[in-house]
Amino acid sequence: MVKIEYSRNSRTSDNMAKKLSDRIPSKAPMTAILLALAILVGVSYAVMLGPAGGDLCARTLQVPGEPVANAGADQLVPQHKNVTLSGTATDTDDESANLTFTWTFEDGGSRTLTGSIVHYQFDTLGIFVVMLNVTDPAAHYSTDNVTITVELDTQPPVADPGADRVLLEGADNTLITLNASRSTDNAQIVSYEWKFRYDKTDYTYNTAIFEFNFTKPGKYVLNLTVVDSSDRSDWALLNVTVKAEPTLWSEHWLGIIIWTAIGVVAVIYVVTKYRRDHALITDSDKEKARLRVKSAKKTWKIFRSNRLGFVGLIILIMFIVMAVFAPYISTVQDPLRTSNLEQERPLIDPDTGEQMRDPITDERLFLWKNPHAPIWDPSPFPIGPDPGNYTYARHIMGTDSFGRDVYSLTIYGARASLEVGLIATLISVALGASIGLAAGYFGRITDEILMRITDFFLVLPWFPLMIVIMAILGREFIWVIVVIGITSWPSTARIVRSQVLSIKERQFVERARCVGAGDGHIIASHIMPNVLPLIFANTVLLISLAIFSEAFLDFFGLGDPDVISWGMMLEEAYDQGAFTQGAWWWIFLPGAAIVIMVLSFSLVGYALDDVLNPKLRRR
Amino acid sequence: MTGMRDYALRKVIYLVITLLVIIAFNFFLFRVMPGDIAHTMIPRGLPPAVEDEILRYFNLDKPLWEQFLLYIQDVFTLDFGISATYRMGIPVNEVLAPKIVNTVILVGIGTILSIYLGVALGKAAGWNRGKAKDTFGMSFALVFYSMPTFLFALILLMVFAGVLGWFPVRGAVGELPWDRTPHSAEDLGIVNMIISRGYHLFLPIVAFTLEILAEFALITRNSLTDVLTEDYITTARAKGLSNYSVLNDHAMRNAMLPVVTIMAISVGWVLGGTIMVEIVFSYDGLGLLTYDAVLAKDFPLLQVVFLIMAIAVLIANFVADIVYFYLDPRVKV
Repeated sequence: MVKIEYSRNSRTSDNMAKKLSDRIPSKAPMTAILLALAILVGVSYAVMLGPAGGDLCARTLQVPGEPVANAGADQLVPQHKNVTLSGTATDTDDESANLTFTWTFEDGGSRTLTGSIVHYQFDTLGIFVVMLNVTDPAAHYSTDNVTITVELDTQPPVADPGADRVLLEGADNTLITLNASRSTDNAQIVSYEWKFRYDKTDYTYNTAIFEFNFTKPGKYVLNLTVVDSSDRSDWALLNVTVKAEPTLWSEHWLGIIIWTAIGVVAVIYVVTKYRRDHALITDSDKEKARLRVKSAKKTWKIFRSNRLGFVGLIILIMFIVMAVFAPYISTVQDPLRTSNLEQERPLIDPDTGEQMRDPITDERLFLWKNPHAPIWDPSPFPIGPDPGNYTYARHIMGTDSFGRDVYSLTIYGARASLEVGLIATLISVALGASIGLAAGYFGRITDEILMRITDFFLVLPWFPLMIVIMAILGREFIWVIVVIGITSWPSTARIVRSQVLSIKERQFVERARCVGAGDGHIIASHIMPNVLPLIFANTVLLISLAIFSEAFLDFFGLGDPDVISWGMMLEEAYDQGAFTQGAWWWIFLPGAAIVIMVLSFSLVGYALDDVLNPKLRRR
Repeated sequence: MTGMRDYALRKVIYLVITLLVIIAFNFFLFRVMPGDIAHTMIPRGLPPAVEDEILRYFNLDKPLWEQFLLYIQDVFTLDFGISATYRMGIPVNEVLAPKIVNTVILVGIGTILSIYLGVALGKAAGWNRGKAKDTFGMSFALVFYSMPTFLFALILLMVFAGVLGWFPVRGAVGELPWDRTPHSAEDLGIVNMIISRGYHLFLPIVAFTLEILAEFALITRNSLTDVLTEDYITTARAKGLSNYSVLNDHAMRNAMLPVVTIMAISVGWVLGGTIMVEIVFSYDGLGLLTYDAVLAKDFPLLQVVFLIMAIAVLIANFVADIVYFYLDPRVKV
């Protein structure tokens, strides 16, 4: 605030009045009175104190070339702050006039600074009165005082490393500029420190801004520490994720594994066949195939007669078709990334220019509000990054809170469920069957040890175990599969063992041993073919359990957020309050999909159980 | 009853051995996994001195064998240290005690109800195999068996606590049917306390019971239909025994054997159901604690919770073994 102690010009008092009126804008009458009073006081003050002199008598007219000093508003600053003193508000008619600005004050001795804008750092606490003297070449001068109150700095700085970055390996954008200059402090930040670990080396940068080239894929955490002049510090983290370039392997790893395995098995089969029989198909093969087809027909007939199992099978086939042809069935390509979040736009009333409100409930209206209920009309907003390639999606089952198409998400979700169900069960059956076979066939100490291990895993609470392992390993889809696989094998091991125990006493095993067959041959050719059909039903039931576990892990917040799955959709629906908002479409589709898929696997499993081993007690 | 004594003794020895293995497993589970547990747990960016202090407190700076000995010592003196992040500084024991009580109430009532009702349903369905009762009962059980517990719990919550507003939305105690403002435990008094607990428990127990019941009903029904094809059932009928006698004295006694075994094994499943139900209803028990511990990456707490759950399952299996002994006379031989 400008002090009106001594001034040669009445303008100052006008300033004062203006300031007052600024401060109380809503009380116009009072302001008017105050303004009048202030002018009166100011004028009379100047009249009484003004030194005699002709040029000073003209109160309302400014003498040309005469400067009026203005040192700016009083400041309350923290210790060590670099204070800026500005005299640019100084009033002068003559812009080109060569004014001299001199700032004088006491700070452990007399200080004099020159210049229209000066900086000074107050290191001691206290109140400083700085006097600005403005002199023009004609030696006319004017002064103004500004009070700087320096107090102890109690506020720590705020570190701002900027937004998290997601980069793509091999793209042009891996060289990024990291900028901490948005960090703020009430006084002054004296040091920046960036610390991070990249490629097994620790890096430290002590500048606010630097460039770094993140070429290796991975997740990097950059720790920014800022220290202010009073030694208070703050830190913040910045995540830089460098995504690996999608390779053929990372895109299609599952398909590659499966087709390679099928190919290897086929080649081995053909080669051994040729070496043994010197022909690909012999007459005995034809006869065998005929018998197999006959027995398969018989089994199929029994299975057909189990109506529920048949229905389950048809539903399963539908799910598999859905998963395989997902891109053709869904309305939105890549539904996880195609978000319509920007679609949430208010409905503007053309008359008032404000957002329209519902006349009854007074709710604010949106042209499109996520989550959006199912609608047949295409959404009014285009999807797609390229203006030439806009598509207008029909959200026939509505959208979720993130503007993603629920129908397409559900279609794609079948993939995750089937992948988890099949691969996890494969792991579990491979583990369980090999342990059961070994324990049952070799018996004695092997049996004892393996069965104690199995019993131990059988009594482990496997739901909590899954949670613990996932919590330690992190949210990756591959871990979900592995964890479910390695926690669900003990029951298979027990069933296999009990079957092996009875089969290995049969005569054909003894005969095989008599003609000199080795253990490996007996297990592979005689025991396995007799045991595996019996665990087939159990396997199908395990699949439903695996799908279940995956949904549970997702709901627990331990699923992979980058993979579309029904469990994840439900978790998000729960998180975003779909259950309280009544967004039924968001819950109904994934919920029904899980129930139906698990149900159909269970139905098929029970039907197979009836067909394959009518007398077997499930343990 | 020497048979009983030998049998029980053998089972107790197994129990103790398994318990020791579980305690060791619980230690190594958290240490051998890929990923540095210590640095996942400690928030990043702390000054090195504070980080060292935390590492020292949790003994993570010592070699693995020394950590293991200290851990064994702590387990046997029931000293589980302080929680790393979950209400920082409070002893884990203090955090756990009220939650264990809450969970035991929920699981206890829920399990007893679901065993009783599940076996009854399975029995009715199995006895009337192929009739309307069987079809209806089994489709009911199959649908609940196939529905994730959390989904069913959420639907219950949405309908009965959300839309209709008949039941409290969250918590384990506090609201009363006639007074829906939350009270503290001291305000309530003993009678109101019990009423309030029951009021809060109703929906979680319904969700929990129906989910667990479905599995038990399916097992009982399958086991019973197997048993009903046995020759001794035909013999019993030929002797002219009443249906009641055939079912309860001959069929069920044998059908219960695999049911008891599977029930013991499925305690892991039961615990999963508890966790889901507790999360959905914000019921303040071990399941919710697990959830919080996972979110906060509070591994000391998670370790204790896992140990408690493992021991609970172990005890359930022991009880099942003893029950099995009474049900199956062949074990005595």
